[in-house]
Amino acid sequence: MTTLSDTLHHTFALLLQLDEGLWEIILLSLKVSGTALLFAVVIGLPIALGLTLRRFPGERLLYIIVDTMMALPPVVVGLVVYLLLSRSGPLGVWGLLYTPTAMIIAQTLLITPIVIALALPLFTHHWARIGEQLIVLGYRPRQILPTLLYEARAGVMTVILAAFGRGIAEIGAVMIVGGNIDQHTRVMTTAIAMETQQGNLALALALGIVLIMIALLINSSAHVINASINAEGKRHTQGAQR
Amino acid sequence: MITVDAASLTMDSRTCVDNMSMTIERQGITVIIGANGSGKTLLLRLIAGLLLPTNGQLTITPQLGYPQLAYVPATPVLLDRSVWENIILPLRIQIKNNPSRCAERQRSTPALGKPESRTQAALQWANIESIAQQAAHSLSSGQQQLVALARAWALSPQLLLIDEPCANLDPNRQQHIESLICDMQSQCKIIMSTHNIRQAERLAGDVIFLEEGKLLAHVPKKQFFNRGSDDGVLESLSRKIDTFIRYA
Repeated sequence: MTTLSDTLHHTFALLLQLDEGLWEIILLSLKVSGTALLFAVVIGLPIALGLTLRRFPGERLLYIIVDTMMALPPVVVGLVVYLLLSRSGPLGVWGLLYTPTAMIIAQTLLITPIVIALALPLFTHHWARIGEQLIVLGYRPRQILPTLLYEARAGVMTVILAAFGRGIAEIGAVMIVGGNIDQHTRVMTTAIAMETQQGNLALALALGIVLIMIALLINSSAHVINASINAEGKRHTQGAQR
Repeated sequence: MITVDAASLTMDSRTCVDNMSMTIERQGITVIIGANGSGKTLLLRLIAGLLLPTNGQLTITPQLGYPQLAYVPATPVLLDRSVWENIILPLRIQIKNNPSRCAERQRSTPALGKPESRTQAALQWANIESIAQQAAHSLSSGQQQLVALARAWALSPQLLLIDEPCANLDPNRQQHIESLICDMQSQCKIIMSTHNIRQAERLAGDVIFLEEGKLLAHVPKKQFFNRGSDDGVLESLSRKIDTFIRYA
């Protein structure tokens, strides 16, 4: 029987040896979640900005829908994407099921509502502060959007990192639409589940450590970015006091 | 000329501006005075077009768009950028949006036509060159007010609305800001609100006196501060004005 110390020894050996199979899984995870994040940001931030600037009937209902979608179970998203992409589904002809593209679609659907729901109060806060003045200064809507985005930059970075964290740690949707196929659609979370079931604890633990390190890196980045933006203000303040 | 014709503003079922009618000439400084909640800021925001009257009309002839009509709120709203950027960015936006107006200005005063030189001139005008590279949010409220005024000056407005420019400022800073406002009146019409009766006396050409959303008087400064026995129209208001002047 394998002892815990043997497992840990094997785990660190895998990490230090830069095992090819391990790295392949890590890189695919980063590629899938990174691409999904890119789409979520490109779709989600303009929607949040638009919702901030435009008032319309049924606005409150839309907020409730976005908030509800933020709490969507990943397996439900996976199931919906599966039904859409399966052979008998409306998008079945594209043959995307069990490909990294299907995983990207599922993760995009999963994290876009997070980007919208977290960015919306952020933009609303900054709009309430500077919106009227921008109008009086002669800014037009297309000029207001980038200004608002810049004003909210520290918060937006946190939103982006939170969405990435949600995507890379997710398992239900990518398992359903990706199928966890070796060297094709296997990502860290699906590999951890499978290797644990097969009793290959060293590899599962090694992937788990990498996943935790990525989560740590994401949170540290958020803190560093916010701290650097605050430090810039403080430097200026100290300069002014001198 | 600004014409306010029976304008009323109702907010949350409360009449905040009540059937106001007046004509404001497009020269000099008009000072709006009144107690807290008398409707000074709301009147400025109505003139700025940031609020629309519930009833009646408010017209500016000839019509002005932003930023020919500039509004500096009581708490200056500055971008999370340096002082320099706070002044130059709206100038660049103006050039993009109104190239013909900017080209005309460059022809008349070439030195001030470019955003960089105009920004430098605005910093010199407000005597804030030393803080040009500082983050606007790190400045004191007095410095922020100067930046907001310098930004408005740089945009060369024809009508400048200023809401309580010297609230909570020390006497030196007040004097500095008052001198800038006086200087600007040669370039544009200024309408400002204040609590400070002495400031109104120093700056005003004419005075608008409000109470609980109602216009009590709109008269030249001299008539407001030195009422004689022959001022029949104002006699009924004399007590209210005297009380306000005494305790303001």
